[in-house]
Amino acid sequence: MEVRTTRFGMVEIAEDRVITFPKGLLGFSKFTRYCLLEPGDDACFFWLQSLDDPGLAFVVTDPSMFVTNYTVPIRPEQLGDLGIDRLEDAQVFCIVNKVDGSLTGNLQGPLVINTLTRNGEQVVLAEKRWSTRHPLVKVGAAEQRARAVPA
Amino acid sequence: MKFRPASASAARPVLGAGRAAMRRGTRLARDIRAGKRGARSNEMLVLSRQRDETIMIGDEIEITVVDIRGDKIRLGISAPARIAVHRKEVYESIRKENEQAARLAGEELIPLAGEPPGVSPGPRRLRVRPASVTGLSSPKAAGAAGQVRANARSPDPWALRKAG
Repeated sequence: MEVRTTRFGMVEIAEDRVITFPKGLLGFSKFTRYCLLEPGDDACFFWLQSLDDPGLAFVVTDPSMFVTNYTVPIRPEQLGDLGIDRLEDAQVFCIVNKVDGSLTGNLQGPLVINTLTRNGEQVVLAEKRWSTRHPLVKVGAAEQRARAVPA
Repeated sequence: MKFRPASASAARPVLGAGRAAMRRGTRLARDIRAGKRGARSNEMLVLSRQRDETIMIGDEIEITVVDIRGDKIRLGISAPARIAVHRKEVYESIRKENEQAARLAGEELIPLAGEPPGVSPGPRRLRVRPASVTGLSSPKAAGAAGQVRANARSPDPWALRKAG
C-alpha cells in the first residue's frame, strides 16, 4: 500500500507492516494505524508514521539502547489486551522529543508492541522512577558541527 | 442555604449524612457549576463523604475516604486489576509530551533521526524505508534488551509476575 507522508513523500508499505494502536496514542486517539520507517542502515531512531494523517509522525527509539536498566512493569491483564503470550514477543519503544539540546525519551509512557500481531499500546507507568523527558543523548555539539558544514 | 443537587439527575440521592456535610456539598457543587458554566462537558455528580465512607462505582469499584487532613484527602481505591487507576497528572504529562514530540518531529530532527548517538550527522537523508518491528536492522534493537521485562526489584504490585 502507498502511504502519503508530508516528510518523506509517498512510501510503499507492505500490508503486514502496519502497526495498530487500537486506543491510539494519548492525545491522538483518532489515529490508530502507523508504520515504522527506518532513516538509515544502522539507525538508532525510527519514525513512527501515521497512516491516517500524513503530517503525524513521531521519532521513536528502543530505550534499552540508552538506558540499560529500563524495564516496563506490565500487568498480566495488559498483556492479555495486547494478545502477548510470551514476553519475547513484545517490543518496547519510546517517543523521542528534543528539549534544550538533548534528545529525551518518554519513559513514563512507553509503547509496547506485540511483534506477532503488530498491535500496540501506549502504557502509562505509575511509578515515578521514569519521567516523560528522560535524557537520552546530547545533540547540541553534533548540531553545531552540522551547521558548520556548508549546504 | 437551600440544597440543590449538582447534577441534572436530581432524583439521585446525595449520600452525605448530616447537615454540615450537605452544606459543604452544596458549596462545592456551586463552585463546580460556576466553573463549568457554558461548557458542554459531562455533568459532574458531587457527593459529600466523611472519613471512612465509601462510594461505589458500578459493582466493582470502591473509593473510600481514608483520611482528611487540611486540604489533602487520602483515597483508597479498590478495583479489578484490569481497570487502570492513575493520577490524572500522569496521563496529562504523557499526552502533552506526545503532542510536543509530534510538533518537534519535523526538519529539526531529520538529521538526527538516522544517526547513532555521538556521531556527527552527515547530509540530510530524507530517504526512508519501511522497518518491521521484529526485523530492525540495528543489531542492538533486535536483541532481547528492549523487551518487556519483569521488574523483580520493583515493589510495585503491578509489576509483572510471570507465572511458572
